Amino acid sequence: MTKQMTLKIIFILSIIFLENNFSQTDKLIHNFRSNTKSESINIIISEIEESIKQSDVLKLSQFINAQTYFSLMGNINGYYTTNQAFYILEDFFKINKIQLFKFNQVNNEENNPYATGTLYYESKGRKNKAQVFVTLKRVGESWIISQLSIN
Amino acid sequence: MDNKSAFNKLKNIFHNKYLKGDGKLFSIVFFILFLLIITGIITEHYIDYTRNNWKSIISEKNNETINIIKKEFNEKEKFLLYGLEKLKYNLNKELSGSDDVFRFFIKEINRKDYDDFSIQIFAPNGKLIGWNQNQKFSEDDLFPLPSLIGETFFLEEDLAFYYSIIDTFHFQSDEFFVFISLPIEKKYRLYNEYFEEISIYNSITNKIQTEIKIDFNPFTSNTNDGNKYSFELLNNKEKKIGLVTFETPKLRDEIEKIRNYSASLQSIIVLIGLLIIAFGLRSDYIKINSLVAKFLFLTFYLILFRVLIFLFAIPSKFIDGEISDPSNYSSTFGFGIVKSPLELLVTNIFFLVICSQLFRLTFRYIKSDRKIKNVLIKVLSVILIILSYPIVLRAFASSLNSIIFDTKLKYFKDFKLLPELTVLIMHINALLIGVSFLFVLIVLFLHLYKILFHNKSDFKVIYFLINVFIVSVPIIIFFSLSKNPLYNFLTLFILVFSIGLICYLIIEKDFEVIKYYLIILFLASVNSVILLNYFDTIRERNSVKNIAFEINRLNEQLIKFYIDDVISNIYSDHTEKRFLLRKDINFNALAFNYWTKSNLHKEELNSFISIYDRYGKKVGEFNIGIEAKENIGNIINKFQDVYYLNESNIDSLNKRFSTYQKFIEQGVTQLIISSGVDFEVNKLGKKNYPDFLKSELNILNQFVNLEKVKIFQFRNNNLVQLYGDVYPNRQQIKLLFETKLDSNFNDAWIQLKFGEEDYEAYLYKVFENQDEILNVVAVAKNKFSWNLFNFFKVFILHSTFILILIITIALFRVKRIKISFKSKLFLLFLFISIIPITILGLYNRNVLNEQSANNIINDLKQKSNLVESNLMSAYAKENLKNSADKVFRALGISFNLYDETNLLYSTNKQFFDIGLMNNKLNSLVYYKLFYDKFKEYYQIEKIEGYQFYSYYKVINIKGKNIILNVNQAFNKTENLISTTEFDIVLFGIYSLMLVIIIFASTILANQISSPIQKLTTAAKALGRGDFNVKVQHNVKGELKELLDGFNKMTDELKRNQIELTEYEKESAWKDMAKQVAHEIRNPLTPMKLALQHLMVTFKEKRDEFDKLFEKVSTTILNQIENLNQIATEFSRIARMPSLKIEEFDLIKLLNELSSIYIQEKISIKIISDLDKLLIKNDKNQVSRVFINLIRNSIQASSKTIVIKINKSINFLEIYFEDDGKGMTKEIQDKIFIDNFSTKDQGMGLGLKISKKFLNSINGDISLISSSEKGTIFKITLPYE
Repeated sequence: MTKQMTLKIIFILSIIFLENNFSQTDKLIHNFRSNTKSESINIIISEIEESIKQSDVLKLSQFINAQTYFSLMGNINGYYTTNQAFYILEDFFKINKIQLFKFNQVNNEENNPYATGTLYYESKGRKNKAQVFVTLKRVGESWIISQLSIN
Repeated sequence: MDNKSAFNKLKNIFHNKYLKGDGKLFSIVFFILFLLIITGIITEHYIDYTRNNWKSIISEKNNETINIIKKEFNEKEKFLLYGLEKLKYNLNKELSGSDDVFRFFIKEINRKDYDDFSIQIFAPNGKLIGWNQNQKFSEDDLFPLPSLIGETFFLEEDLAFYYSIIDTFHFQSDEFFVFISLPIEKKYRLYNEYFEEISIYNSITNKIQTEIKIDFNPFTSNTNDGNKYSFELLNNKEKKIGLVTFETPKLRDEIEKIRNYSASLQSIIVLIGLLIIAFGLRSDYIKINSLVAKFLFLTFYLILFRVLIFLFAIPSKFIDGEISDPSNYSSTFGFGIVKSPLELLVTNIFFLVICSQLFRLTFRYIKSDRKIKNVLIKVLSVILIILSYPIVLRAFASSLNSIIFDTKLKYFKDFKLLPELTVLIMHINALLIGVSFLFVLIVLFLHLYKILFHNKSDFKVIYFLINVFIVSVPIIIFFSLSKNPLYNFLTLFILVFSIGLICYLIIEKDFEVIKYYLIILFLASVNSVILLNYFDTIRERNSVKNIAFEINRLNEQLIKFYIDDVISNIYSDHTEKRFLLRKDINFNALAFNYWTKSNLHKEELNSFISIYDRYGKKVGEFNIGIEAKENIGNIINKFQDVYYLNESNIDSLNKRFSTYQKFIEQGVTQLIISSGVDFEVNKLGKKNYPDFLKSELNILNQFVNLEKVKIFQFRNNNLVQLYGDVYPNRQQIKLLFETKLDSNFNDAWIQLKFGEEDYEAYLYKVFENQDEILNVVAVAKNKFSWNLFNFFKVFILHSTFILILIITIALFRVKRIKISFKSKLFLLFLFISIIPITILGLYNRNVLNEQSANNIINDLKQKSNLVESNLMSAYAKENLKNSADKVFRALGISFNLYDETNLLYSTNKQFFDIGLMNNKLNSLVYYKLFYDKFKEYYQIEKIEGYQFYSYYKVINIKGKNIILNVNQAFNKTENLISTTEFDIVLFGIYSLMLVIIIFASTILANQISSPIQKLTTAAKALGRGDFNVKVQHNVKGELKELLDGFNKMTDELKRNQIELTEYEKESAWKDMAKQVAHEIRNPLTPMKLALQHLMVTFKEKRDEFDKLFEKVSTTILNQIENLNQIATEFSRIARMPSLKIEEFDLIKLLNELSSIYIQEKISIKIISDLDKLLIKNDKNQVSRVFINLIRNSIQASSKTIVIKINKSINFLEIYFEDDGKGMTKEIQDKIFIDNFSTKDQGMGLGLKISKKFLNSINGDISLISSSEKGTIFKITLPYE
């Protein structure tokens, strides 16, 4: 393959990549604006569910701020900064490997959104389950997790 | 510095020609890399081997696990048997020789040695006759015997499982039963500092990292199904007493373990490799001349090192625990390179090394003559420094801000003077950050000063202040425009002042380097602590916000979640469920056990867990702050499975929920389990909670003392809830409603005043069920004594760390460190001042402790008197229980009543019912009151690790002696000033006194030692031959006599020296003249004789005249030759004395000489590229040359001497420059002439001799210039 051809391929791929990204962003914004507030709460709750299932701390941390209360197995109780929360969750998912998780009950009312579910995990060779409780709170224009309990 | 650019130097470093390092060390590095690869290969092979032989490996692993578990149990059994043997032995020993048998008996079994055991002694007839404070078992537990005599067994009690043994001992022909038990597994758990964890389950699972199940009864059968493996636990007589079942290891887990071990091993190999690389490159590093290149090389290596060890998870992989816990500290900065206290410490150490190296090299650069010549680089550097200064300042503040905020640790709320390890590490981190950033800020300042004012030879305050101004302006602009500046005026001023002070000392003064480091360390500590304190104040403020969030966090859903969680845990824990149907269950204890493990305890909620029989009658309960219903018969039929009851009072914002769940077995309801929560702001805190049940996980008390807080809740503008002892007045309420809240967060901050105290109040509005709820949380501002305590607590910790560091360095460099007379004096003053202060402080503290204890006892006494008098009158009309209830309701005092040894009544009966407190009276108390006939008695008792005073009194009610007990566990005692508050005040004040003592000691030591020091340096100068030295002073008394005596002595010595020199010269000349005369006479005599003989021969006209003439001529010529030789010899002798050549360090010599003249108020600077300059020459003569020049400069009123050393190919060119009054042209021409001097004293030989010496060694001295501004001499010395 000649040098020119290689450059052309790279250029075309870049265009495709950028175009794809921008188009996705437009779609997302369009989707976001057209949804009702209840549906957006549902989306957030399902994203939280997904991130817990996959132990994806980075994804989960978008919904966390200094007003998030954590109550986790292992004596984690309290309000933590976003810096701390990141590594606390990372350590938590390292020790307790998530097998299965689903929210059983979801309340998407705007004045008091919350969800409860059962988490199946493995820790130190033992399988166990825990109850999960998540509440959301509106801060400005966005929703954040006000409480995350895994006991 | 040579003309080669820094860039070329850097290039050369990485050129093959230079980067050789140590070949052997690099071979080791390659070997290490090879080891890494081998490790990986071996790991894979080992994994394959494990896979192929898994069956036999499993059997080995199972055996290993069994051995570990058995070892744990055996150790417990051994300890139990040891306790038994010791008790029996001591009882036999004490009782056999004793008259007062019972007294010794009680004393023995209540000794601290048996605190771990529960001891009961039974008489031959089975009656309980002796017990210790941990008594758990009664006569009912003894008979029928649960096990054979002398055999260990497991015994289940309400709150724990025990390892027990019953044995007998004989006394006075009777056989007594000893029942001794050791708790091995507690069923409950408390989340506070008092809880003493006893769990054999945890200690085993921590060792084997697999799940186990322990059955403490001998009737359970084994399970061996491939996934689980069981084995029997045998007692000391090889009988089965229990069963342990554990999960067999999984191949997948084993492989992961192997990979983890391999990864750990590889991490260590990488670490060793990196260290060896450092040693290997050391020689190259030392050879680098360019300061910039040196710094870049080191920085690059250290950054690479840090990144690599982080990627290999060193040291987190190897060190577990609190210091690796991210909840104690973590930050996402640097991709996790500071994600725990330990990682932060490691990163800080690397950062400090880089910054200290930067400072060190800058220090050398500042003291040297080097400068940046390129104007463009100068301008860019100035701009860069000015722009980066505020950024570095901000980075410093951000780091300390993170230390305070990104952690759950309480740096200042913890009253312990010696903190825990994790807190200590974070304090050290704060110090290291302070030192590192201070180095950087100083470096930037110094570079700016050097660029702008390098050409100014004299230091002037105005230049320095201009520099300060240039640096300050962007700082002020930056922080004024910043939304969150992270500094206030005071903290910024102190920091900038510290930087200015250090830079001034570096530029203007010439201390030893170690002094600069010390000053920087202490100033870094001061600034770090001030900033930490400042941020902690902000954090306290933020935690007030958390209180506001907390009181609103508890809503219906959350409470339901907590309650459901409790109940489902009870059900899931007992899979057979038949456990709940056992008749012998203590449901109160069961309720307590589950309550302690739930969120109800963790969050200190007023709550209960209760159990009802199938008819709805309560059979067991544990509650705090809210009681469960006695009977729920009216609601049983209303639900099938679960029933929620909401009894909240919306008007008063009270939240009260309970859940009832049926336990159904074979279609029939057997039990109903219930849990409930009652939440109200005015019931917050520890009002309902005894101290031993408090929870450390309760947010409300974590950062702010709840006693300093006031909370108000307004519902639709009406005050409905209040916490604290004050009401807001009308004006304050108006202010609260009129305050404008933030539109996003619905919050605001205002100032309030209650009484004389200032409060900072946080307002937070929420909406609940159409109601508008305004929450106001106000916290009192810290008093000055608290701030003082907070400051000194950490500052003294830092200072201790700095001192330990210095002592450690001193121990390694013991030969180089000299403690001067001044330092010794200072340490002596400090020592003799601190001791009495410390003794006084400890004494005062002791007195206060005693006073506090007396206050508590008196308070309990008074309470008991009140109870007694009320009980007497109430008991006249009603039975004991009703009258006691009445008295409790009326007085609010908790008390217990005992009928001899058994509990009759308690206001806190549930703690006795669950077994946390004993129904049996403490046997020691019983003995004191009934045998020793004390009327009252008090002692310290404990629940878990919580200690409290307990007061006992014998009262007589209706002719019956009853023991009344009032204790501190359930009755709060107020002290005027608590021990903690006193500690705080004492510590703060004594720390301030310590600082004053240090200053005073420094001044005193200086005053005494300064004249001695002057004397010492003058004596040294005298020893080197400088007879013109004088000690200038203004002391009085004996020191004045000493110093004046010394000055007189030097004058005398000088005069004597001159006379001696003259005399010696004269003697020398006389001797020489004699010698010359003598030597000359020798050849003259034969000359005379020969001539006389010749004259006779000539007169007598003898024939041998011709022959004789020739002979005489030869003789005369020989003798003339002799005379010539004599003259040459004498001429050579008259030259300079012989040289004594030796190798010495010229720079060290010059430094030593400059220190001699330190008292002469003249500054001598030596400027050279090198730290060391070895030359071969006559050290004394060279020394005399410079002494002579220095002395001349002093006498010419110089203030500064600069000695610059330049190296040329075969010579050293040394420029000696002073700022004295100089010489006129006429004088300049004569300075090297013998006996020429402008001084009243002296022989005028100094410069002449110097020149002579230098010429004799192929060097020279010449005058370059001389004027009113100063004089410059040039000295050349040969150099190879």
